[in-house]
Amino acid sequence: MAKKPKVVDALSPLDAITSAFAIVMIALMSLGVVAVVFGGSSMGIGEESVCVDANFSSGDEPTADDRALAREAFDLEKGVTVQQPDTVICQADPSLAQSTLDTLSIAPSFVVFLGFLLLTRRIIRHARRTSLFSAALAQIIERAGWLLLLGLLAAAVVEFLADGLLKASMSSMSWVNGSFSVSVAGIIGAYGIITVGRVMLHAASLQADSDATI
Amino acid sequence: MSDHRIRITLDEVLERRGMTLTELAVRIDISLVNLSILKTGKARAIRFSTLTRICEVLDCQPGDLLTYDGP
Repeated sequence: MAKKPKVVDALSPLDAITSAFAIVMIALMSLGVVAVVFGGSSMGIGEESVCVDANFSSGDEPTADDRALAREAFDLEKGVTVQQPDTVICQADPSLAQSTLDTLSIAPSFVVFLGFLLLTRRIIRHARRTSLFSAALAQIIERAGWLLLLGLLAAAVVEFLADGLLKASMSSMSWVNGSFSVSVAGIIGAYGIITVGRVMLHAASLQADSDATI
Repeated sequence: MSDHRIRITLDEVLERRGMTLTELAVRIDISLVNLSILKTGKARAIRFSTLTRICEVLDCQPGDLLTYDGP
């Protein structure tokens, strides 16, 4: 009897990896919630103190005296200069608003990442269930790209504002600024995903034509 | 809704030859489902290779299988 050819499901390993990753993330989040309930902390929630990195603005570079002090403190060789090290300022007894701002300066990126991970899992499941080349799948992929692109930008803005407001609530000095950082790799990746979705949308119509050709 | 006015007259040719769709499907090595899609005019296109095999078995010309229904 002829042996049946083995059917290879190319998406099966991806499905397993994504699912495992999503389960780990959700488990960590659940552990964080449990930790907060039992007096611990997670993502800034339940922290006894709130700390932020305070960046020097360009107009407030360290003075020659500051540099000399740092040179002495670090026992630097001749010709070695000191760049301004990060300054961490902490509020030992944060208010509810400060704790909320602290969480808002960390959590949005995580939420976007988790949302994208779950959507990726949905895309893989949809592709396994239906077809690799369908208009519906192409649209979901494009939507995932937009979610990542806009989500990353929105998260960066929220984190920047929360960081700035938190610093402003802890110090009135001019050198304390919010730090805006957005993942360039993430933005490029999101743009790539949108492009793939658009290309697949055209490929899907070709596939439909091919499928309906006898 | 179909965007063309080409009608497949395979059933008429089959009737004239006294052949069933199942028999034709076996002889030209195409699934009955696909041949049924072609017969009912639901196919978007037909390969020259398929047309060749049908014409060989039914001893007909492509024009015998396709008709243009004018507006």
